[in-house]
Amino acid sequence: MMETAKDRLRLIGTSRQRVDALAKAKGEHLFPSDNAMQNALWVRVVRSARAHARLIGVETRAAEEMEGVACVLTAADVPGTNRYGLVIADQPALCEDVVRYEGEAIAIIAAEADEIARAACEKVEVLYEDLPVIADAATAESAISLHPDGNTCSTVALGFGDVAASEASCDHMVEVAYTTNRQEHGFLETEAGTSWIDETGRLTLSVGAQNPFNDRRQIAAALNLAEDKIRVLNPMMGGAFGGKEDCNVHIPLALVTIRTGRPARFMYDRRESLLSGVKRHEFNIAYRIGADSTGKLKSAKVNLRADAGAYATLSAAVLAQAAEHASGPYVYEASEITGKAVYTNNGIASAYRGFGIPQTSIGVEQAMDELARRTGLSPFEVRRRNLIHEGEMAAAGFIMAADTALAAMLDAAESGPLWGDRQEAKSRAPSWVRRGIGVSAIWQGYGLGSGLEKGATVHVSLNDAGRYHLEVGTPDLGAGNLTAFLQIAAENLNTTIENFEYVAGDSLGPNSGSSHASRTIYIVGNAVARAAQELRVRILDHALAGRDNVTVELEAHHVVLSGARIALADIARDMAGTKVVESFVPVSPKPVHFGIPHAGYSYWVQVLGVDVDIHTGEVAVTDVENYLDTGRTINPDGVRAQCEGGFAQGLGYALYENSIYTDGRLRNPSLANYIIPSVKDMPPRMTNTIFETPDHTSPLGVRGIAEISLSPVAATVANAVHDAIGTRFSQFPILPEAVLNAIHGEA
Amino acid sequence: MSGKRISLIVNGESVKAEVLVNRLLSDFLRDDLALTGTKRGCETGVCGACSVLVDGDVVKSCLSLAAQVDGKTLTTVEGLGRIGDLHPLQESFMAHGGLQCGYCTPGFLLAAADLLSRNPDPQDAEIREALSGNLCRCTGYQGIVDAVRNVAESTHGN
Repeated sequence: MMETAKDRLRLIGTSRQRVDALAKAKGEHLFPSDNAMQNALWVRVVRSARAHARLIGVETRAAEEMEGVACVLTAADVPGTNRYGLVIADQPALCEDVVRYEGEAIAIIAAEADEIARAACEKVEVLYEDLPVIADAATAESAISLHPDGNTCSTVALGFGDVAASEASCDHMVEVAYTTNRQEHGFLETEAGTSWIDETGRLTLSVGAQNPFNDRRQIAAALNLAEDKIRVLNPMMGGAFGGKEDCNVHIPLALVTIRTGRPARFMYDRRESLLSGVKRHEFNIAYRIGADSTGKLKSAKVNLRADAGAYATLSAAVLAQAAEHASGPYVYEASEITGKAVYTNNGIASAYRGFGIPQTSIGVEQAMDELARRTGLSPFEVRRRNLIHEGEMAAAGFIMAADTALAAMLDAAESGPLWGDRQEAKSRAPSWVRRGIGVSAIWQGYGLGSGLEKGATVHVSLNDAGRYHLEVGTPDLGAGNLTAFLQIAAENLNTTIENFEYVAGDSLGPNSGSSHASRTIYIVGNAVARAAQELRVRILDHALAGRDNVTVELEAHHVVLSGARIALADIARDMAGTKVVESFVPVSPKPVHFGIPHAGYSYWVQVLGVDVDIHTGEVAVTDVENYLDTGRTINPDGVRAQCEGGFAQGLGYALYENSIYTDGRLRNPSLANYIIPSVKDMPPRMTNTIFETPDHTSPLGVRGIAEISLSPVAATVANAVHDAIGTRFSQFPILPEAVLNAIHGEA
Repeated sequence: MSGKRISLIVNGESVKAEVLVNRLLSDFLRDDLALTGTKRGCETGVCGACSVLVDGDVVKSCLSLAAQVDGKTLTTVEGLGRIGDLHPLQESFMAHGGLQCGYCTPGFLLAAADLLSRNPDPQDAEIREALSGNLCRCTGYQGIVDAVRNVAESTHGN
């Protein structure tokens, strides 16, 4: 067949408005907290007021007797294992004998009105017998056991070569030791959802979460239900950032609807979200990096200790990813990277955008900065001469499958205005300001790591009305990946986004995996491209019906066969079936450890300027230059959105945000004292320079950038603050009090 | 808890209701009037997701009681545009990356509308000041500031 290529619609690489923009601008989009059915019961949960205690009794009678209360449920009412968890099912849906963190669920109440449910919660009497609280990860392993196998959640030990011998031959040894903050996701819509029994008798949940299949599997096991008796929907929600991977409102909603047969609704209060929602892991990290006199890196010795909190969830994966990336994108002659995650009573830590890399970047990038100072090299040159290349062994013990994309990015950053004008900018600073410039260069794998990435399946079809239909299992958490999928599908079918209907985030649809790990454009996007290409072939083949010597062309709404236009609707009605089921699974390298290495890596260079106020200790980021590699840009506006949004969360991580625990109690469970950056905290100037070095494992060429936009910020800010006042900080975030102490020479 | 009869104008329509005196305005709008464009975010007046206009001034409805708006005129995001016609701010938020997940969007739109009604040609710093009572966790704010500035500039032709 001959297909002409004239007038092909170009969508990939162009900024397209989000398909959900209109509904959201009008306030009409129904979020998980908005779409409750008439007659839905209001759900509330009685939560532990203790960080670690034996549960002696739960007295529910007074609550049950309240008018308007439909049910009060405790662990004895859970029909299944009463256990859930993303990797191992270790979390009780409702506590039985022990509570292991403040805010853990003890009883569920459903009532005719929210006020009644809240009042009933107050009537439930919980009797505790206090147990020793494990508040310090440093001593957790010798403390009372939270789980049968003790308090070591997971360990990692990676490396190659003889580190001791290598260190003995080094001219420069740089040590960096620090503790990072627990970061809260701070999605504007807290955990929320609704549940009901559908017309087929199936339990249905519509919840803000990141993978309807993971949700369904955990609900089924915890409640002893067959998976096909459950449908989970993850509609577009008010943000997630990793914080809605773990089950949240799911099991309380499911239990209430199963028990009462009625629809139910549940939205966490903000305090409840801050208390019982997961956090970014606090890490305690020690780096010792050695180099020769020319600044060539020789040895890397890194130790990581992560506070997992009370349950396992994704801690082993976060620890592994931190260890994998701990060396930065550099090559060494020997390495030793060790780490552990330990159980404590400090809430629960799990996934958060960045997934271990914001923590380690702070160490390795400060070490590179220090090495530049000691050798007199520019911060760009010291990184450039140590970049790892294809075929070289990474510090984590795997062979790099491809060069980094960093050399050109470092060159561009070094020629950028911030670095070029730094001396003049510093000389212009007012007398109360110390001005500094920081640099970092980082890497971040995307897609799940080796052995873990199962790929994505998607559906594309053509319906009898001549419209296309795209189904993906991954929800759009708010980032806009659905719009990017439609651009990919529409370009491959030479049509418009408007000619698509779509479904995302439904366990009745194809399993495309989770919206996490910067994987959706890379994994799901490639599956969508394949499916659209296959459907295009089928449509054209059908139109040709085996004829030769004719030209055939697919237009937005027609097939043109030797000049004759046939409506897509007619083609669809004539075809026996149009549904294409396609998958994409990247070729995974051989694993050297749980999830290590990744099939592909993203790269980022960041240069930023700070003003440090010597009277208040406040740090203001004034200018930012981002240099990033998308592999291939699908939607430039979407890339910009990730750059700016990721930066804002990274800025909070660097300077403001910390969930503070004392004796296992959260001290700041409110957005009034957990500080999220506002518009006034953001730098007035930010530029994003996009490189497009295609990833050879990705047919579309795309790389994932959702997380790496956040990951360098704390490291770059730390280097800039050091440039301004000459201090490296051992505690993050870098708070004004610590800056003032540093300026005044107090430890 | 005693009730109170209130009568008010919401998005141009007259509303009469009997509310408990401790009924939050945000709950009244969302659950009694089904105006779910007004969002719950923090319940403490920090995040601004519940912002509405009361007699033209931006107010956080999670810190207000329904009983307090008796006799007042309210605008929620559902009433921001004219029928069948978007408000310029809505179009501008869509065009300039002013929204991602969209949960904070109604509050930002109303805060911006309040600003432009008082100061049709704000400086950048004035835009940032006016929006500093609203939190967004997705966009990094630059798209929101751009969206507001573009409306001001297109109205003023500068």
